[in-house]
Amino acid sequence: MNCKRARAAISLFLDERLDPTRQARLNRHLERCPDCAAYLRDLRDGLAMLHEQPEAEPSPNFDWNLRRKLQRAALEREIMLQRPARVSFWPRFAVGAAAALAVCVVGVWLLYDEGGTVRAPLVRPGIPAVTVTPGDSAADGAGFASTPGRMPDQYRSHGTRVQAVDGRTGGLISDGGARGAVQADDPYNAVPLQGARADSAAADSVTPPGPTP
Amino acid sequence: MTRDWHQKQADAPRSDESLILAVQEGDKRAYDELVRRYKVRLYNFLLRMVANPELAEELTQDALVRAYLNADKYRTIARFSTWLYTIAINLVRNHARRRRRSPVFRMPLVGRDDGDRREMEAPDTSRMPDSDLESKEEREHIQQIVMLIPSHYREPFVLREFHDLSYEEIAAATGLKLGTVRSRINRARSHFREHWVARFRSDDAALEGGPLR
Repeated sequence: MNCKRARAAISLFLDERLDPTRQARLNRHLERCPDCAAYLRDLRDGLAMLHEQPEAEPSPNFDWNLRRKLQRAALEREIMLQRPARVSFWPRFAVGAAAALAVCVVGVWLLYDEGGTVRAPLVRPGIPAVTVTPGDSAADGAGFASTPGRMPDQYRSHGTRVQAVDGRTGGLISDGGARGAVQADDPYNAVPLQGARADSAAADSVTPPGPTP
Repeated sequence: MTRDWHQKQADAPRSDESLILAVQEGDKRAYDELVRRYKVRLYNFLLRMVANPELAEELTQDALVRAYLNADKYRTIARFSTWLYTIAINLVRNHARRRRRSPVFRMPLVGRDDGDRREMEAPDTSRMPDSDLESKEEREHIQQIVMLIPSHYREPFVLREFHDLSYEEIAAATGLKLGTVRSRINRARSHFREHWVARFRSDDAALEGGPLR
């Protein structure tokens, strides 16, 4: 038996959990190992001092504070029992995510048509919407980007092909190839100016705007 | 004769297990009796684990409140004392986890003369019974030595040395395997002996047989 095993055996010996065979081996080791013999002696003395320590008493308020805590805990439990069962996080998250996705899909579907053109959302009945066709700038051949965005300033004064689209049906009302300027910054709300009238009267008459003089 | 037997039965102290079963039936006097039996024992266990009388008292009250609220979860397969110590150990572990997240002021203490410095909370022994100054100092030193044992070794050590729980009961209370309990008690004793010798044995020769790691 080496010293490491002997000290593990000493711990079991102090608890009277050592079988007779191992105890005999430990005794033989202790006879010829003064370090382990000192270890056993110190441990016995130290633990004896430990066991002599008197028990400490809790404060005189202990029982009163305990009763207060019990009352509070009982009250909290009652409140918890009255509260309706809370739906766990994941079902609520799934419903929220599905709703957000649905809103996104509907929003994208409303903003884009199949051809990739930006449709002005002038959906009031009877008022034509205006569609700006990409790549058809009459002035310099540069077109609008097909994605919605702010209209670059250099295009404001130049002519642009303007289409009149029925706000209700989404059908093309006119495509005069007119060279009209578009005033609005936002292509969503582009309003034709020169010769490309998009007011209600123009929509009613479905008259393509004439060429700029 | 039969009457005497019944009288004896009525006078005999009820076991902890029968009391907690009565608590499950709503017997508040049975709970009071359990508090009377265990508050000092539990308080001392927690005091040796946290070395802070106020905190130990608070944790003792919390353990007793939990025992009351969860009395219906107690099963007769375990002893009541083991079940109660399990609750207390969980509270100590939770407290240690919280303290790691938000550390409090710690006072460095010199562990040995060789420059080994360890940290521990300053033990407040103001509520410990003090017959005279010398024994009070001795108690403080013993408490400091116990606190120098790493907490995962200290748990089974305190249960074994101060509360006389068997290895099997310690395993049940701490959730450790029997072999782990055995080796942790051995290591804790080795730590204890090392610090006890350094503090109480003026004979330096005793240090030569230091514990094996």
